[in-house]
Amino acid sequence: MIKIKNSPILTSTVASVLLAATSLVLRADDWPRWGGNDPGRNMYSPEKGLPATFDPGKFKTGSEEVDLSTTKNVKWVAKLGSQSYGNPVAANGKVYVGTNNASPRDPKYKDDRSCLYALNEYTGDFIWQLAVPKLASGKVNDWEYLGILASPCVDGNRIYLVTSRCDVVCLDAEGMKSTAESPYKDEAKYLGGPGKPPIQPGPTDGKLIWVYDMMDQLGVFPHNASNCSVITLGNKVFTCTSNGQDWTHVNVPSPLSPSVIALDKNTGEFLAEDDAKVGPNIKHGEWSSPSVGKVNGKDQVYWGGGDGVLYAFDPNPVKEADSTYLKKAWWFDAVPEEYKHDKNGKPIKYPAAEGPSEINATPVFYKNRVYVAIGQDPEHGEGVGRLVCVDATKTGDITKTGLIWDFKEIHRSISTVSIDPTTGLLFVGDFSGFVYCLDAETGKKYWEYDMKSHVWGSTLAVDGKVYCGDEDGDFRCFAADKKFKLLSEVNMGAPVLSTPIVANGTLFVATQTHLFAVAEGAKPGEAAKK
Amino acid sequence: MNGKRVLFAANGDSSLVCFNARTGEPLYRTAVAKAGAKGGINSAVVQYKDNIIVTHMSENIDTSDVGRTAMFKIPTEFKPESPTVPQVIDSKGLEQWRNPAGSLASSPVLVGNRVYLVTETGDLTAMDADNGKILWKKQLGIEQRQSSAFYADGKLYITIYIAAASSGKGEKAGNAQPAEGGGEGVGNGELFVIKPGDKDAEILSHTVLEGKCYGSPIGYNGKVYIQTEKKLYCFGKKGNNPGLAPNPKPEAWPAPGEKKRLQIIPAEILLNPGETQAFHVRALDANGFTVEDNVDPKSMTWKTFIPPTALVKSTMKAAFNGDGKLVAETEKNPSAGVFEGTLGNLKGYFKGRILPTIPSLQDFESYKLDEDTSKPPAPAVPNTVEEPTPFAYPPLAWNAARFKFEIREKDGNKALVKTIENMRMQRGTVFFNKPNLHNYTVEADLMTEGKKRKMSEMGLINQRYLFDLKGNAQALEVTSNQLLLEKSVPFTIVPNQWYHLKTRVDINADGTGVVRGKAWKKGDPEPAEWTIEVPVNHPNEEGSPGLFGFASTAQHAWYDNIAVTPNK
Repeated sequence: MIKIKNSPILTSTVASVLLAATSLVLRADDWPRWGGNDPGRNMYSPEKGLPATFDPGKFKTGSEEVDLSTTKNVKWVAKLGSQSYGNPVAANGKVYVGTNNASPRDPKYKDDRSCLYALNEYTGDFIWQLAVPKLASGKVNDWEYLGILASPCVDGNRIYLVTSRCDVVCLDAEGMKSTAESPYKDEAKYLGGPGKPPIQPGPTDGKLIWVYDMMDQLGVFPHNASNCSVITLGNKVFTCTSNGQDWTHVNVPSPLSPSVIALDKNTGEFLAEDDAKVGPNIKHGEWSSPSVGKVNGKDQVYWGGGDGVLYAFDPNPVKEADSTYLKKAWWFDAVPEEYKHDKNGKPIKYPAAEGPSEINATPVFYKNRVYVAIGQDPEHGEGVGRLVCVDATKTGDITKTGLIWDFKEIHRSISTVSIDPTTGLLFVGDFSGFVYCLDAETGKKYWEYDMKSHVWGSTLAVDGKVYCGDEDGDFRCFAADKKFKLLSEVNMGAPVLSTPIVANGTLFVATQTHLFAVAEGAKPGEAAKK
Repeated sequence: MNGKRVLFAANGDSSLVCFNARTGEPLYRTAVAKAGAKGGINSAVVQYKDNIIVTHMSENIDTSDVGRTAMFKIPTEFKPESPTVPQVIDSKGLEQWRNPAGSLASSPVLVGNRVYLVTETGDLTAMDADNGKILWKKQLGIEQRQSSAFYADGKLYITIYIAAASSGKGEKAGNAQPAEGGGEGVGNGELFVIKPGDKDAEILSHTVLEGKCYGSPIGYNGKVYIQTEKKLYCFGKKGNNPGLAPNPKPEAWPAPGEKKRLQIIPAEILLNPGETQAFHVRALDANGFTVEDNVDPKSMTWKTFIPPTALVKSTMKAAFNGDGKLVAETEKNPSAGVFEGTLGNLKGYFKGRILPTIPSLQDFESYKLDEDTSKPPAPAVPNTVEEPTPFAYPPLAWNAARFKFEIREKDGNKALVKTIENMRMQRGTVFFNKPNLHNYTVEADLMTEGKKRKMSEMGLINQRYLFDLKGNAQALEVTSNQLLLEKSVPFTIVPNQWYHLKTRVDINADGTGVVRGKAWKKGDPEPAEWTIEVPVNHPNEEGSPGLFGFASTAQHAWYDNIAVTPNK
């Protein structure tokens, strides 16, 4: 398999040459996982020619179907369920997106399920879905109607995904249309759920290759929801386990269970667990996604802990007495002292607005640095925050030595940064609704903009523009420039809680209920191909 | 309504329900949104003429958008299925209007024919109560939680949960300071005083307060009171307010009709063997109003009664004496059940439990394992995740034990087990004696199944302290209110091994206390030292003994030989 060089500077010309040279489906302008082609998870794409504005149109009277004749620059609109936090990815001519079963695509599934849809990238037509049944424990581990929260990771003809059941699944990218036989023989049981009658998969169901149940295998106890956008590196898939507290918001039922694990991506076999012992210090839940960077020729896996510490792990498993471990290469406590103790030295109780937070955003690796913000579950509301830029070349506890700059004007944030390599500008949102433009090198602020609504997703920087959505359903486009300019704003009619992505000349924007494929000059109904 | 005194509320299952407020009998329920999302409906409902207005932020039943405000007509006749089963009505037949504005927990306020609601995303929204049309919106913040608007004197007093970061330009009350770091007003709430109009509203003032605002403002005697996380505020003029409204006239209640049934008070009792209970009996009419307040219990016939819906056919071991009082038998086994009191063609009911005095020992050997987990009595749900297993329901007199625990055979013995087939009930807390017990030792044999990092928590409760053997943490932990007291010591717990746990709470002469727990492998000699001792300044003075189980990884936990003995 040819490895496409993981450089954000890859141009479409080079991509076309590579495409011609191989019969692979993967294209250089795909967006195959959270963060696109960059394993550092920088929310940036080198594509060009994207529209600064579009009109999402209006619903046909009395329906939830968009009247495409009222749209502008929209290729297609696909119906999602009622909640869609999961981010789309685009690869193999398909768009894969997580949602719930509130607008059922298959009449055999009537109940609340977490669904991964595979749609035709050019038309939005539904091809297949994995409709995952909910955990029997209900809200405490798998809150009703949230759907799939994670982004899938497409690697060749395989999809890797963390479901709302706290399992890591591997799927065939072609679904049941694939003629290749799967080693996984229990799909009917999986779709039915434990203790329930099995449901035979049909032609519009996904094809499971393997399933690794983190609760059953490791005793993990997810807090309300499981969420991690996994990443593959070599033969391994890395994921956070979503281990967390129970209803008491004080007790961690499984403090000795790991927070980050590596599995064999071909078989789903357990390879290693982190050695960070985060468990007893988990403040609430753990939902940060891992990223990968290469420092001094060695790969590192970065992840934000439920304890507020930014970790770098060596991805090569090391066998020790009772298990096999991913060893910490370095770690950085991202919570500043003044958020931990008040002026009188008294500890500030979590989740006070002026107190400490964990890391839910995805750390971004860029030019030997890691950038990440602290924040909390939106249920805890707004509070103080911090964005750090940390030196990834150091080792051990680098809390005192590894900080290059920090930015404390930012409020709590669960957003991942976008760094435009053509300008060195960094863009990031926070949960209080602000979008900031900073200098990635120094942290100097150029501008801030108040979206006047919670921002749950992340910015996307592409083609000299920065896109960002909010809870009011407003979707804005700014100039990716140190001089502030709002290029456009539209209201999408429903909250935009996920992050837009770009693939093959198309901007994909999801609200809670619909997925829009946006392109400059697009006319609905044309199955436009790049 | 319709001759009855009724209560309307919206529930955790997202339905609107109506109860007879005098008797607790449910009259009707109608599903307003899908059950399960967002924890149901948390705001109060509002009555407008013959309708009820409900707001929520849950999944809607008929569309995939989330959140709505809607108005539902109150039926002109209440037709419950039975005294315990409400009529289920499709909300489509009752809905008068809807609009997309929704709130998770902030309640609407009705002023004349206007509804004012602060939505989930912080917009003060004015609606026409007759047709639901949104008249205007005004953004006050970016999120609102429980705090609801208060209307008086032509003004709305609204506290927003957290002041919008950019709006920190308002006055700051008292010592309200912006939080360090992320900008003005982070974590501080904000009070708005607003004059609502027909097309818009005028903000008369806004004031940043110290602490987040979950509570709602209220007004009385010329003053407005607001509770935040950090402060209780009182705004206004000192002294009496000449504009104080007179107390409302008491509502006239209808004249009661014919006697139709008896109401027995107390409706639920808890006795030790040999104890006596007196009752106050009323005769009610069909709507639940009192016709006669003091029916003489001596004039009534009393007998044990098994409700037709009872899963376990059991009765209280007690009988009425010649004085019309109930006397619990002296038998030492717990019992529970219902009594029916009759006078002519009038009937009434109460239920009760009898729990043994201490010292007590429960080894479960006297229970017959006559039930089958795969075929429990209807309407209990069959256990489909385990092989069919004989079991008995736990003592009915134990509070909240059923379905979370049951009695099974284990290694030739009978013991209590934490069930795992319904993971919504993975955690169980059971109290098995009177809440005023104190100065006792409670101990038991405990065991969890599982493997490394996959065990259940199991524990005992003594005088409101939980002693918890936590296999997944390899610790013995003592908690009461977890935020106030949480202490643990390392303790090795191996799956499929019985441990003995012993607990006591000692109160010193000076009022302080020590909470003591001891655990050891069953079969080993009892250690001389306590495993954990926690000094407390203000010990809990009393509490029923109990047990606790948390099957977080779906493993059985076992309990046997539960003994409670008074301390010497």
